[in-house]
Amino acid sequence: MEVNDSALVARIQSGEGHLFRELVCRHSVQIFRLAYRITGNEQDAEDIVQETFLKAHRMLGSFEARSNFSTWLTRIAANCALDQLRSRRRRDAALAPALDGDGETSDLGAANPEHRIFHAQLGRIVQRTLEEMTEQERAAFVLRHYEQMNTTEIGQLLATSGPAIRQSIFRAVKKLRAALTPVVERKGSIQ
Amino acid sequence: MSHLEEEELVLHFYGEGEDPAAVEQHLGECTVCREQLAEIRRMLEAVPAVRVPDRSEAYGAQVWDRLQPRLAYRRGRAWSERVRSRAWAISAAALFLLTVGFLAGRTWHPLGKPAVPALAADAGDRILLAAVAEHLQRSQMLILEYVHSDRGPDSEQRARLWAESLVAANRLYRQVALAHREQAMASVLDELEPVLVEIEHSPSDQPGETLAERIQSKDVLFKIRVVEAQIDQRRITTTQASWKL
Repeated sequence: MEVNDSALVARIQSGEGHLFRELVCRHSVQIFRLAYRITGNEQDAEDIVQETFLKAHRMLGSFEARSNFSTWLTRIAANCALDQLRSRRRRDAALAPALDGDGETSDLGAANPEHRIFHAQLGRIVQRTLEEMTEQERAAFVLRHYEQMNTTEIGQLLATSGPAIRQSIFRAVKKLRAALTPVVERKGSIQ
Repeated sequence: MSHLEEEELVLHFYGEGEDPAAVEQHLGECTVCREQLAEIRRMLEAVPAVRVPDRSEAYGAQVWDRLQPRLAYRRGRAWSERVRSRAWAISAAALFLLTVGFLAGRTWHPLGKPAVPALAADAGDRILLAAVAEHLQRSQMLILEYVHSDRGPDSEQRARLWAESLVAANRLYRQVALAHREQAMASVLDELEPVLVEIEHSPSDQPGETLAERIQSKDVLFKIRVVEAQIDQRRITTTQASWKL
C-alpha cells in the first residue's frame, strides 16, 4: 500500500532522508507543468523543478504534518516561477507559453485548415498579451484559467489577498478581451 | 435598470462572484448583461490551451538523478526542530568570528608580509551570503506559514519561538551586513525585523490577515526574494572564482 505524503514527510523528518526521493518522483510532473504554464519556457521550468525540491528539502523541518504537502510544494514552486519570470523579464528574455495551435481544449480548433490558421492567430495574440501582463496578472490568470485553482488558493500561493487576486484576474481578462474580441467576433460574423 | 460591472461578469464566469444568485437573477432580466456575459464566455473559451511538453513516467527519477548531487552538498544539515532552533546560535557564533576576523584583518598585517585582502574578503563574503540566504529562506517560510495556515495553540507557540530565534539572528546579520557595507541586504533585514517581532509577540486571537495586508502593502516578501536572487547569483560567482584560485 502506498504511504501518503504526510507519513513520508514524518519519516524523513525522523531521519529516513532517502525517502525524499519518493516525494520527488511523485510530484515532479505536477511541478513541471505548473512552472511551464507560468514561465512558458521549458528550461526555466526544469530549473524551477530543481529549485523547488532544493528549497523543499531545506525547509522540510518547518513543514507541519497536518498541512498538505502538495499545496506546500506548489506554493514554493509558484514563488520560484514568479521569481524566474521577474528575472527573465529583467533580462528582456521572457517567453510566453507555447500556445496550442491545434485546439487541444478549445472548440474552435479543428482539422479544417482555415480553423487551424485562425487558431494559430489566436495563439499569437494570447502570447503577446500574456507578455504584456504584470507578473501577478499573468500568474493569477494562468493559475485560475488553466490550473482551475480558486482565488483563495491562488492568494495563498502568491501571498496576496483574495480581492487583489480577483482584481489581477479581471485585469488580465480585460487585456485579453481587448486583444481577442475583434478577432473572435470577425470569425463569428464570417461563419 | 443598472447593469452589472464587467468585473462581476468575469468573476461570475469563473464562479468567483460574491453573490452568484443575485447575478443570475439580474441576468434573467437583463438582455444587455446576458449578451455581455455570452461575449466574455465566447472569448475566454477561445483562449487556446497551453501545450505543456510531455514528460515520461521516468521523469521523477530523472529529476532525482540531477537533484541528488546538490542535496548531498546539504547533507549533514539536520531537519529536526531542535537543531533548527539552535541554528541561529551557531550561525551567530560563526558570524561573530567572521566579524572579528574581518575587523582584525583591516587593522593588522604580519610584519613584512603583504595582506591578502581579496581572498579573505571573498571567504568572508561566502560565509555571510550563505548564512543570510538560509536566514531569509527560513524567515520567508515562517511568514508564509504564519499568514496562511490554520493556527492552533501549539503551532502558534512554535511560530513564536521560531520567530524569537529569527529576530535575534536578524539583528546580528543586519549588523554584520552593515559592517560589510551590504546596504541592500541590511535594508531588507531592517524591513524584515518588525514582521518577525510581530509574529514573536502576536496574541493568539489576532487574525493573520492584518499582518498579511501589511506584508503585502510593503512588498516585504518580494524584496526578500529579490535579495535572495542576488545572493544566489553572487554565491555562484564567488564559488566559481574560488575554484579558479
